[in-house]
Amino acid sequence: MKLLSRIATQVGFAGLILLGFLLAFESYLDIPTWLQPLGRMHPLLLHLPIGVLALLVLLPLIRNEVGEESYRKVRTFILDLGLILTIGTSLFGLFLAQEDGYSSATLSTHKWLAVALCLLVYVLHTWNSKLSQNPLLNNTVTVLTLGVLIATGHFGGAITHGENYIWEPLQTEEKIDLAESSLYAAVIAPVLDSKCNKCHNERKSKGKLVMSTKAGLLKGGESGSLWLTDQPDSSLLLQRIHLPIEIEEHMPPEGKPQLSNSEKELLEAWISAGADLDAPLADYDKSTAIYALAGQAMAGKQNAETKKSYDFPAASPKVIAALNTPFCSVEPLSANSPALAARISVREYFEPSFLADLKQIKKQLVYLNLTDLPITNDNLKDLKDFPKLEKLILNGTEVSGSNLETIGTLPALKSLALSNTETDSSLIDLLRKATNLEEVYVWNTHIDSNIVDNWQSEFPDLQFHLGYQPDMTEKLKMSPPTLANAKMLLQPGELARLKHSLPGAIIRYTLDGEEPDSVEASIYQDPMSIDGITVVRAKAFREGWEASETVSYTLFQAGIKPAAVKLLKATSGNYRGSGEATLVDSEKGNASNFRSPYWLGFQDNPMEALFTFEEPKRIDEIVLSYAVNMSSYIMPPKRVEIWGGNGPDALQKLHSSKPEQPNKYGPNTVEAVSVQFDPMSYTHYKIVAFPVTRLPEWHGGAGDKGWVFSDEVLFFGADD
Amino acid sequence: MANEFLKNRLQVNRRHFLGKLSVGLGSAALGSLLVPDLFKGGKDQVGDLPLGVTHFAPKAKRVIYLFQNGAPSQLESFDYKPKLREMFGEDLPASIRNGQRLTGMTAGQDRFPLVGSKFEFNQHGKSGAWVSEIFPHIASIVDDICIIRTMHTEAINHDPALTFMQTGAQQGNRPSMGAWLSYGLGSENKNLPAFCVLLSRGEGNGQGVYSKLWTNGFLDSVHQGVQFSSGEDPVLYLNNPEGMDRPSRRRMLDRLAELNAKSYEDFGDPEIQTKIQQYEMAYRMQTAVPELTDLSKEPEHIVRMYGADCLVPGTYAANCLLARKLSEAGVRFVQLYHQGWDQHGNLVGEMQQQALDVDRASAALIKDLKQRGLLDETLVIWGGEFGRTNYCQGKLSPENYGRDHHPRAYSIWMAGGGIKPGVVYGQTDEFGYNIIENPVHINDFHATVLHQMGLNHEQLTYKHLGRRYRLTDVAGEVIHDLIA
Repeated sequence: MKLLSRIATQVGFAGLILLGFLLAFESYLDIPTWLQPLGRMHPLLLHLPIGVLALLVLLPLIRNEVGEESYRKVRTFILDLGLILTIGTSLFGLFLAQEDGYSSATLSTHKWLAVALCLLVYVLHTWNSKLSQNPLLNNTVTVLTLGVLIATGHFGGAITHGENYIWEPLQTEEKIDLAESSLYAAVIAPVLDSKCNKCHNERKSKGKLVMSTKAGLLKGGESGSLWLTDQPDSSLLLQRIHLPIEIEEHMPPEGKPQLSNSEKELLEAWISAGADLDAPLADYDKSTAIYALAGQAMAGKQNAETKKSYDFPAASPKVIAALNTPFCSVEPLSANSPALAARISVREYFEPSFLADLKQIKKQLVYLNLTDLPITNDNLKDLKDFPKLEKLILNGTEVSGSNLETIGTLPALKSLALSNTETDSSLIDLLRKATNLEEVYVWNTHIDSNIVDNWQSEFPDLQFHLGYQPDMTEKLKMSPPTLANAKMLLQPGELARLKHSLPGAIIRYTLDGEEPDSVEASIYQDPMSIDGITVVRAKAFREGWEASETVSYTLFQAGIKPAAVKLLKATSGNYRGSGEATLVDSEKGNASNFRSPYWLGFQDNPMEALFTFEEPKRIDEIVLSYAVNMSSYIMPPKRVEIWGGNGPDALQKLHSSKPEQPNKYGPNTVEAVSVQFDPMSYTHYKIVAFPVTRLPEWHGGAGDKGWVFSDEVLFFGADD
Repeated sequence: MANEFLKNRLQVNRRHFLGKLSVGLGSAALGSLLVPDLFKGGKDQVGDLPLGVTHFAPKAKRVIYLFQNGAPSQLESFDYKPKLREMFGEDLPASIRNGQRLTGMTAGQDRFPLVGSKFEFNQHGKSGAWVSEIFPHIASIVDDICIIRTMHTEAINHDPALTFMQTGAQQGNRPSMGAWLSYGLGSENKNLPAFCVLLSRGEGNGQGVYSKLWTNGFLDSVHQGVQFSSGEDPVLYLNNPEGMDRPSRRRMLDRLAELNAKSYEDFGDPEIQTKIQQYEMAYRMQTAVPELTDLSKEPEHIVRMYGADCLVPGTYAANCLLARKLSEAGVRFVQLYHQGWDQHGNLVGEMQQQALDVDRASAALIKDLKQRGLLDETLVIWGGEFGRTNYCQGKLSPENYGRDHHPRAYSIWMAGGGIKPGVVYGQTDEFGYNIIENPVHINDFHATVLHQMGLNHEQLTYKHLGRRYRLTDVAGEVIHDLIA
């Protein structure tokens, strides 16, 4: 304690002399670089003397509790500490003040208040025992010290954070009349204010640059003028904001809020246009970039200004909860917003009372969606006194134009959607009443572009949306017919059925592999019976439409089902389908979806499958169905072999066949090779299908191995 | 719905409460004594925000995500790179590739010959956006859409990339975007699922999609995507079986609900509540779905707009039309997948075919929403899971080529829902390989989508396995430049 007191006395004295000396010769001061970090510790250290000196005032509160002796000891300790910290912090502050960018009246006030504070603390410290004999004087000096302390701290804070810092959130922004004020004041100054002026203002002007005043902007900083109107691209301001953020000269500095791209574009366009500080928007040429960008920015602002922060009282949560039924949903626009949005759904369950119930929230409802409900003009009477309703969607309802004006009196209505209704030109009565209406949707109604053209002159600000009007003479391509059968493999007695979903479509087809044309080919009318493997080729036609692509379905008839099947060589990759039984499960796959459980895939090994019948079967045709999906390297097998015998070891090769290989890319298809022979009776049959070993030259994977994918093997023959 | 959420959250609270007291009968008893106070407490400890309500006023109420599965090439669609044509057959400079890892499919290639688009590009609309000739209808709506050319991802293979794009993580155990929105916002129409999934497949080389992409993950299973079948009956088993009429179905459900309610009282498992709700919704769906999925009543000019395929169930065009109808009826999130965009080879032929599948219907969906006054409240997203390389995979010829996977830059577009229309955002280098301006990471994309739906991506959380999870996990920033 004694030691601390002695140090404090000496540091206090020496420090005051040093402070006085430095102040006297401040204009000659040049702080060496190595001392600058000490200066920069000022904002850190300053909290210590504030805290310690504040204790000095609070200490008397516990005076009675701790006893006189302890009180005095603690007070001495606080004063010792306070003096050292106050003088140290002041010296550091003086170092910091010598750096660039700190020269203003605020700084000067702060500085001299700090000096006063040092003197007061020195007085309290040095004459501590004497003062304590005169409580009145002692208290006066202590309170004075506190006052100076607060004032010093306040002005210091104003230098770093700006003078307005504390009250800023409570102040309403100055309203700028966008039509009258200069473009600079309306859109440029706010950007500079939010992103630049924290460090470049009249109190704190980093780089000797002040951006908060017009004069400051024109003067520039220590690196020169901010912009060159004759060479906008070389303007210092633009260069700095476009530097990569890692570079030290980039502005705003890393860690500070950055300019957004649209802000950068805005500044760039403004400087290119001459960086005028006074011209209003109207003075700019409409074709310039700055005109467009500033227009956007101003529109955004105006939106933000006019955007209602709904201030009406909220509806009771109980009412809202009661209105929420399975067929009606009412939800707040957002948390904390009293505004409500509602939708009624499901045509079949609609009751007019649903609409009447909404009257309970008529003071809060801003959005109502009634799409596709059986609502007539009569029902709309329930909506006529909803003062806040802004958007009403009546698409697909049964309203019509006449009498619609009941909703025209909705004072807040901005957007009205009437698409897909019987609305006609009597809508004009509504439009004349609905003065705040901004947009109306009338696609697929009796209102056409002629009517709208007539109306537009009466309602120049109203946006009419007529929507997409198809060109009925455009020859669009039809979709091909589809096969209505669930599976490509037809069970005995099952008929093949084709269909097309466009009303009036005519389906023509062939069963002989020929292309169906619009004249010769049979017209599909009734379901057809199919024999063996049949390729149905079909095409859809209709007046005024382009004929569809030809579609080809390879239909299979269910064959004789073997008792068992065994794969003698493994599948490749993960293409295991649903195991060996895949080949005889009567399920056909789709060639595009070869990963599905209907396909077995082979690449490294040929497909080698052994089929067993319980007793010898007379077979005269075997069909192997395979996928062709060339971009996935799935080709027809290079060669297919049929083996037969009455036991797994007694097989002999019966036939061999080479399916035709494609010579260019084509659609993904399911094809089949059918091997027919004189009837034979065996218990065991083996099918081997070899994948292509080298993909052909025209293929993207030329030279690579191809794949064989099979979904089914079928056996046909007579039972006799 | 908000009420159901609240009950659910209170249920979670009780479990958390019990979980925090050390296990034991005594503490459980104490816990149950204290629970009534918890109910009165009102303020939710798990997350401070109520569910079923947006954090701030939303721009969009619904999302339709047209996922182009397999990764369509950005270089043949929206990112025009004439330099690649000039450099046909020349090697990709190592300085551009800059150590990018390769897939197993091209890692063995000794050369990386550059190849430009076989298709012509033209500028369209007031925005002057470059769009390839194979997308003439999308080109006609460029002033309504916002093309982002600088999406990027870390994943390089389909499964992780797709999972990342859909769930915000490459491993498949997190809830999908649609599930998060269902959880965060609930349903606008309680007679339909909040999250519906529609699948279609083109002729091109395809990659599978699987239910983990529309999973609810650790969220309650009501938030799972409901997959619509591509057949004649979009929702399977929705019709009453023969011999069952609607009143007897009602009676059956009422009795079942009583039994379920009793077992809920006994066990308190929230999944039982989910079950009761699902049965009820399925009952109402029996009416709501047929109203929606009947395409036969669509007027001919709608058929002309979407193309004739829109009447063939299971096609992309039919799914677009159905997506509009579902979304119009209040489905929060409609997720389409069109498969077949994985052009490792035969890119020219396949991409043309794929584009033909999706071009007219995608554009029609935007126009259709617009003419009904719904585009401003519906966010439509079109795009794949990553991009494709600027060099050729496999055999290169002037007529045909292939492209491998490329994670560093790819293009998607968004429309409606408060997204800036007529904008092309971001720039890649002249090789179309690296981003040079305004990158958009998947996390940023998710943050932006949630923002448009009125949700703060940092506040939409769910506590699971001891920590809070978000769709954007620990990253993501809203891209304000995309927002109108």
